[in-house]
Amino acid sequence: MNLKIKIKNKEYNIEILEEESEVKIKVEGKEFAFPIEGNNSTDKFLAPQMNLPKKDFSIKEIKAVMAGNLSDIFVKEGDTIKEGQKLFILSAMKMENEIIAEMDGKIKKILFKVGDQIREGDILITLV
Amino acid sequence: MNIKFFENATSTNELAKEFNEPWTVIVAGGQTKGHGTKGTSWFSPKGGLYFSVVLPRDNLKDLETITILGAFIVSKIIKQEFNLEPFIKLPNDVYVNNKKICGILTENIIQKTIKSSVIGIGLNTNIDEFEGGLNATSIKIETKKEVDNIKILKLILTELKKQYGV
Repeated sequence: MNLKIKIKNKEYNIEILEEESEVKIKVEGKEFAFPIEGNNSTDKFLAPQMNLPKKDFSIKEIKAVMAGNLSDIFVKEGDTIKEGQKLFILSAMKMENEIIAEMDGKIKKILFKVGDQIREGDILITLV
Repeated sequence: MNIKFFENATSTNELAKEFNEPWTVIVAGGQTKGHGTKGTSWFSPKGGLYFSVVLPRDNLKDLETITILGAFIVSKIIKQEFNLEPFIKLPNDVYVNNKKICGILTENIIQKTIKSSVIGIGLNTNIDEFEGGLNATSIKIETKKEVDNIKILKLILTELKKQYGV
């Protein structure tokens, strides 16, 4: 069965094919297949129904590039920060490492407090 | 080597962080906000040798090593020039007669990767007395002789550059 549907002034050619175990729907040549109910065949083409991993890409994070002791924090939650602004001091091996902002943003959460031991890769703050 | 002298500075490390050119050296006659790790203050009256060097960008592991090497260089020069017996409290302090004579602080600015690094050295050379309670000494107290700060600065810088193969 061939159909033509129009969405927002664009026309799409749809072809529906019913086979023994599945129904195939071709949209502009791109094929999607759905198993016929009650059939136990593989549902490998059920992409439209898949749950995608939940990640909010609007949230940005600043991670520790090294391990150390968080010896000072210069910002607080809710602060608007600018790229290059001093955020923390991480001390390690008697070296002081000034961590500066990689990007502009507003601090949503600071996940550690002064005195905490930080591991490389830990998320230090989230920005919105 | 670009050496900048200041009669007085807040902290030579703070000033050095403003410079990007490796091997820029900031020397101060005294510091009003000289500091060690975790905000501890470094007593910096006139007479001492206080300087910071902008280091070439390096990885963090090598910078840890350069802090320790700094302590070894200072110890070697104290021994060689003044015949004192220094010992190193790893990684960054030098003692003579169980009293602190030198402190070293390496500071890095990190924005994903290292943007800049400075090593600051505070060496008690011509200091006659210390504020009450400080377990510190100076080369002058130990040897009863005036120290040529510029000569010692040059010796330390030469050794430091040698470590970088320059």
